[in-house]
Amino acid sequence: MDLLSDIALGFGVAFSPVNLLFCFVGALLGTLIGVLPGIGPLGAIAMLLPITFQFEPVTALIMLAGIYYGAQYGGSTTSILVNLPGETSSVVTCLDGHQMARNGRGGAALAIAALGSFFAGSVATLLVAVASPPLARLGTLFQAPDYFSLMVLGLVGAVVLAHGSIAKAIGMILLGLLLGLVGTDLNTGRQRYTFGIPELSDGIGFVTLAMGLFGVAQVLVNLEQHAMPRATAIVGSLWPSRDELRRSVPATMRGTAIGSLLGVLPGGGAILASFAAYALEKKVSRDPARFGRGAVEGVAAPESANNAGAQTSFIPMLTLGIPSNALMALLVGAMSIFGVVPGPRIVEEQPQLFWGLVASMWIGNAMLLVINLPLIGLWVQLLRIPYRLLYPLILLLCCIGVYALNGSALEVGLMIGFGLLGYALLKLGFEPAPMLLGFVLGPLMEENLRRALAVSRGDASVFFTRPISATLLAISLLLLLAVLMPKVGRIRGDAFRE
Amino acid sequence: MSNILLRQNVLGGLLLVLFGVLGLALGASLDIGTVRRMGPGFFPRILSWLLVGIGAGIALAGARDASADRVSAGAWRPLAMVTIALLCFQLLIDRLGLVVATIAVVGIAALGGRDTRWPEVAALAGVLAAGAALLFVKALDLPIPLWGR
Amino acid sequence: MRKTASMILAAAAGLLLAGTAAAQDAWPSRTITIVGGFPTGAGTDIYSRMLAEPLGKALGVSVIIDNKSGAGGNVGSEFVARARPDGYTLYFGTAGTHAINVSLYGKLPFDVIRDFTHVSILGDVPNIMIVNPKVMPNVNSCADMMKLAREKPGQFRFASTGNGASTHLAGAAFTKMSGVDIEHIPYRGTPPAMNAMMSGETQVMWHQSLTVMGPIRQGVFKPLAVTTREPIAALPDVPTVEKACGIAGFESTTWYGLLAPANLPDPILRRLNREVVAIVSAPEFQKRLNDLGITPMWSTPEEFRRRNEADIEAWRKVVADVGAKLD
Repeated sequence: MDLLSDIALGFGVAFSPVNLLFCFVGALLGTLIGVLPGIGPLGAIAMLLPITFQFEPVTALIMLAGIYYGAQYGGSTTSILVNLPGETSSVVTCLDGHQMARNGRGGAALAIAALGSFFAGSVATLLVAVASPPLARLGTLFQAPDYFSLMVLGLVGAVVLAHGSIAKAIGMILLGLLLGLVGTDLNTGRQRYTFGIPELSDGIGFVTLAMGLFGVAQVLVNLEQHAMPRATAIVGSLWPSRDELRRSVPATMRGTAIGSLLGVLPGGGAILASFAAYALEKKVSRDPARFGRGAVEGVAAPESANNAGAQTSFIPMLTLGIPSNALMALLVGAMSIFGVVPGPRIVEEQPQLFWGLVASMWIGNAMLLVINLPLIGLWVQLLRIPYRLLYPLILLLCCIGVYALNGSALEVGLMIGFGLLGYALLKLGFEPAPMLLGFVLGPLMEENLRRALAVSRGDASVFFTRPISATLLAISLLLLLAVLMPKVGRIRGDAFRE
Repeated sequence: MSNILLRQNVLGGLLLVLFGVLGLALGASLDIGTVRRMGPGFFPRILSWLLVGIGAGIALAGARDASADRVSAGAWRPLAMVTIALLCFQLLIDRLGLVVATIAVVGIAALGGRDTRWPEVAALAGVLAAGAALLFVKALDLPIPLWGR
Repeated sequence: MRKTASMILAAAAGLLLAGTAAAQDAWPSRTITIVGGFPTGAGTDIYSRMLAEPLGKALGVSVIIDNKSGAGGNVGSEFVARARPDGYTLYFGTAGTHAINVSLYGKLPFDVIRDFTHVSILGDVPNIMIVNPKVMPNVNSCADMMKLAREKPGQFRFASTGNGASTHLAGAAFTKMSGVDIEHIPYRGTPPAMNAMMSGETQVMWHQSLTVMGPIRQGVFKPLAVTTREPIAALPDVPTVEKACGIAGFESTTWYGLLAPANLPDPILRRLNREVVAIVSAPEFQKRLNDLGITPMWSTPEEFRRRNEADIEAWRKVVADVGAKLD
């Protein structure tokens, strides 16, 4: 079969000693850098890009891909261990992952994340190998009304995400939506809520918000409760229990499916993958109350979704040469420096590049497993450092991470503000996660709503006549009803309590 | 009165109302446009009103519910020390560089903890300052000033 | 006693003089930073990385890139405008940051000419008028596109990467000068704009050459025209907008250039200019630029500054005509 010979070619390329070595080095460096809070895959690749210039294009790309997965996984490590999400996709892992760490199951959480990511990566790589063209076409079907409906679905899902009072979750989402609007209005160029500060004209940085809301706020709460987190204790073995493994399997598979599909969508699609996977798990679970308290499915699903999405997001770039997000744009730029041009003809013109890259995707995932599983012991030991020494380190890393983004001390100030806000919200019984989701989805939702109306010349029926949009809106409605129905029967006061 | 105010939902709801009001006030100059051609002020206005509404609802429900949770007591020292420590980083990083800013953050943040042992803090500050300088500036080549611009 | 004192004074004076002279000659003695106004992966970032490596070798120090994106490049520009003119902070500017933003934004907190030292121009970046052949199968030339748009006014849209970007201004100038009605739909950056072209949400685009060269070569997009006066080396068979669309005098390109804070000491300026010119004019480097669709350029500092000043005026007209405005 042709596919087998292609794969053989790819493995032949990828298994050369040089390429293997640099795949490993890339994955290792990526992981280490990804662990640093605030520096996600984009930052890691930007940082290490100059190093790759001296290599052959195939080797350089393999190394860059390794860095990408490494940084993605490294971000999960800090999410679980110290509640610091480095990337949008790592936020959801914080929810249950960090709780697992606080329950003493940090090692298990890290292991599940690694295993789930590996499974998802393998499946997604297979998809890239066999289904790139149709998946790429799927990505190009979406227009503004479809994106809008997807965002609506995402926001309804955010309500599912919350494990407390619905009203408070909606309040958080609204606040997040409003914060997301800070910046320059795309259509008119007007500044909104920027107080004339140029650094705000492109909006509040996600990392700044997340570091403050999650990282700093968590430190403040921990210090107040004199709660030296019991993560210092390791409950049971480092490895996941049979029960944990059993629960993770279906979650991983669902997460992989969601991530693979959403990953091909430019922009908003990939961000939604981990949120959607988490929400789905919570919805289908027999005991949703476990979520937010350390449910292992709450780690397995988003992690798999993330990694699957990370692989499939290569598809539009490889098959069409169209970058679907900033990171892909960076890789396209890097490729152009190497003189490599991705696109439909790349499979015929440079098969060893394409298949070598695909093979190295799988190898990179395997490398991550090899690198990270042994490291789990190390990381968990790190947590046993007395909190009085750990939290200044966490705070320092937050500061440096935020500052290094744009070399701006102002961002650090913003982070402080968000830290205080996050602390206040936690004390008032609010959850920050829905706010973050609203923050990310809000501007996209508004943009696409206005764009859809502009393209259709004011005709709102377009949201219901386009099949994709109509389907998504229908699902949103069903989901909303499913969430709200049980509440309708209760006394109104009850609905506002936890 | 203060009893009611200290309930989580009341304060929380009021906080949301505050944000809504801020959203309305700060966004007052933005053009709303029409539903068909939304202006930059359309979404902010709607969101702000919704915030006010939900916030008021939550606060009212909290005020009526006598058995609602109260806000747990805060600890002033950690809050103040951490905030000051982070502010020091922000103010010092450009003027005096990473090394000084690190020492400041670690030292001041340590004041917010419970059992601070000063030799320990000093050692930690030194190690972290050196480590940060080596890792971020020397190894990773990040554009962070070591000793100020 | 007096002799000793005067000897000491003389020695001190000598040391002082030697010290200042040494300080000047000692440039560069540490890492040089090229600040960029756009995010990593953007065209400016790509070119600046291509430049940093040989420049570092030529100067014997490490040259790193520091991108401070925001406000269409203004955040980066302001940072460099306020930096010390010691030769260790440079700016990778564009016509956008230094010739267009003045007219686009109400007022800037810096002066693009007076607060900067112009080192050398680095290249010309054309915009390429592209369509997606799957979406517009019958459009093979600019004339075809214009005919279609005239037959069905208001049915077609062009994508841009943001309000005030060259992708917007080129398209807006086109529609204004040709009288054809193609509506402008802005997107946040290249990825969503390109996707809009793939999905058919927009039918035409005037994208900067760098990012679209790949898709063009792969047949994903079809180039109809280039916005320069002459066809570009990377696409020798693609006519100019002027010829293909019949719009006399149409030109809409942006340049890249290297700048520094104002009052850069002359020896440093001359050395920088010399090295940069040597790098850009090298045949191998020129070829790489041409492959990217960038027309290599280099100049003296004075020539660059004059070009900048002229362009400010030229773009002021365009921006006013098009009516683009940012806060």
